[in-house]
Amino acid sequence: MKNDLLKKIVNFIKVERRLFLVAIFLVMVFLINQSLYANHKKTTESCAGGKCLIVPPEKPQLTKDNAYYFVDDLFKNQSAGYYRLTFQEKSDQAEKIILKLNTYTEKENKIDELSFESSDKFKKQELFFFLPEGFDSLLFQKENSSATGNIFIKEIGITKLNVTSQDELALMKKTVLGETDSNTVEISQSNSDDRYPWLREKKIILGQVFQAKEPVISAVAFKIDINKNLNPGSRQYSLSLREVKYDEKKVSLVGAVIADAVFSVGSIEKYRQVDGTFLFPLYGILEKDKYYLISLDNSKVEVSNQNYLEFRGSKNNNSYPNGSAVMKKQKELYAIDGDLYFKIYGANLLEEEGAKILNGAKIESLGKGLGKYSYATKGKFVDLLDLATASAGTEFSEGDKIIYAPAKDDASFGYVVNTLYPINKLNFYATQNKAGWKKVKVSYSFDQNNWIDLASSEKSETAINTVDNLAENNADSEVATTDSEVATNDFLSEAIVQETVQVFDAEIIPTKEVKTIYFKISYDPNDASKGKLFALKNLKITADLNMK
Amino acid sequence: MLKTIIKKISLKICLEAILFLVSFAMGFYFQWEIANFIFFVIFIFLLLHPISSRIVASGAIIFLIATAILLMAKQNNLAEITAIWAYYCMIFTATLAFHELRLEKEDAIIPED
Repeated sequence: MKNDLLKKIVNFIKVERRLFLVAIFLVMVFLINQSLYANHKKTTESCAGGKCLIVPPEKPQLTKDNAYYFVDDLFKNQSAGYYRLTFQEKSDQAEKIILKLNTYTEKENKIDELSFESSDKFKKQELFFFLPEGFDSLLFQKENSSATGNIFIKEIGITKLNVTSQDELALMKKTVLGETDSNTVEISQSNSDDRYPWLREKKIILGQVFQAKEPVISAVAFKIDINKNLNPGSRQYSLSLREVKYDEKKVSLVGAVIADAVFSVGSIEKYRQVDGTFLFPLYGILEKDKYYLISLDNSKVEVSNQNYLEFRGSKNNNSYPNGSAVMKKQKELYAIDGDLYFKIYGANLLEEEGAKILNGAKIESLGKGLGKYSYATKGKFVDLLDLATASAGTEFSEGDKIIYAPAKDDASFGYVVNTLYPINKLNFYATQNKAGWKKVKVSYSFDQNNWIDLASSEKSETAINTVDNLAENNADSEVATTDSEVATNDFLSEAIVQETVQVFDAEIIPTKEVKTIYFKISYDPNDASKGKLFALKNLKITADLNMK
Repeated sequence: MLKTIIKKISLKICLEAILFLVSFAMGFYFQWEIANFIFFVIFIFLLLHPISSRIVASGAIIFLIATAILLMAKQNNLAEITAIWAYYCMIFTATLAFHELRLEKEDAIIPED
């Protein structure tokens, strides 16, 4: 009897083995899915201490293992004479450094000895020296080669001086180097005990209303926990800044998006800070005391209970008294309990004699009453912070490394160039970003009332045309988002083409004593091309100054 | 009447029903998207009741053509979805083709007297 039953079972398995194969398949699918979804939560706390950083931290030039740092060919093809050396340094311990001129034949000539103090911020250094014939490199050497300090050195530059004697050298004026302080937190709410998991639902906008205290926002920091499976997708969240009308529980949007940034769950880690929070660069010009909303929109992302971003914050309504956490669901925007954890960063340009100096701009004396002003965009987000004026939608493109703005209405952005000394002659150089974009109009003024257009010429240049086959079909698709996203998310086809772009290479010679020039970059309204954006690239402003 | 129905329900049908129920439960448990869930259930069905691989392959071709058309129409999001469906159909086709190959081999064996 038992044998019969056993035989029946064995026979059934043999005949219906497909059923059992499917059962095994289901078990495997279950186990694989369990492992995909389990333990893939990254919290701010688990990433604190730089554990999740994907951008490697900068390495020091001088360490306890390396007491020498050579800057090769710095003086190559430079004639003998008096020079200025400028650089920036940062050291984690007080250290003494010897600066030497050097050659490949290891001939050395000591320039100076410098003491570096312990600091977590870079400090400017400037020194003058005589360069004899026969040297081509510069050597930074630790006085004590066994000292354990880590020293960072960057932005090394030399300028030949119009000086022939030590007496004239003593009369040299200190170089002014423009810099931007974008590390100051203007507004913040630092309680993060509670969680805001609403972004796991589809088509949700979640953000924070704040009241502006400063005229510029340069970045915003949030605490965000990431819930993701092994394939979170490449669809992008959109972080945007907009003006709102806010009155306790009532919130309504005003005007267009001032600034935005997009990122996927895969690319969000590039914004991670050492403390585990995220710092998103977001530039916008604000009006003091007005209310603004910074919000994250998940409409384009396939969210689920295993794949979503979770804001941290406080459910206590008094944690930030001048705003509230806000949610938009099904077209309705409303304030919700509490406030998100957030930090709003401003941007302050260095001020000298009451005038703001553009970031990286150098005002240096050359001797005999002559001086030089030089400024160039760096192709980094910080370029945005140099703008004195900017219409809504003016943004920085990580892919193209330019500042761009949509060509509509009276869109423009502008610079105020302060040279501190009277300008003898100023040169403005820049080129149109791409041939297909709207033509650019550059105007300058000495008083902001009378504007004079700068003439442009055209030149042919080789360009790699990238056809973004999967980019969104909107105005922004003209701009590459980020290098990595373009490379990984979309199918690209490239073609090398010759295209004609505008070139601005103009000299401005003031007829009266002028220390400030205003530049306005806008688009040519007479350009009938279909371009929706305008931008300049390779902007360089140089000026000869009268320093007598 | 009830007894007749119960008699007709074989063990095989019961097991198949259980497998489908488990598939549904997994779909809900892991919150799969509805399209992915439907394709998963179809796959389970095809494993239990294989059909000609040509039918499924034609589905893959239709989705591939749809992908190309949608890309030309700049409907990138829809194109991405149909490309994924085409990929699913190709997996089904490969599985069914493997099964057909096995059947052909079994048929080719001449039984001994």
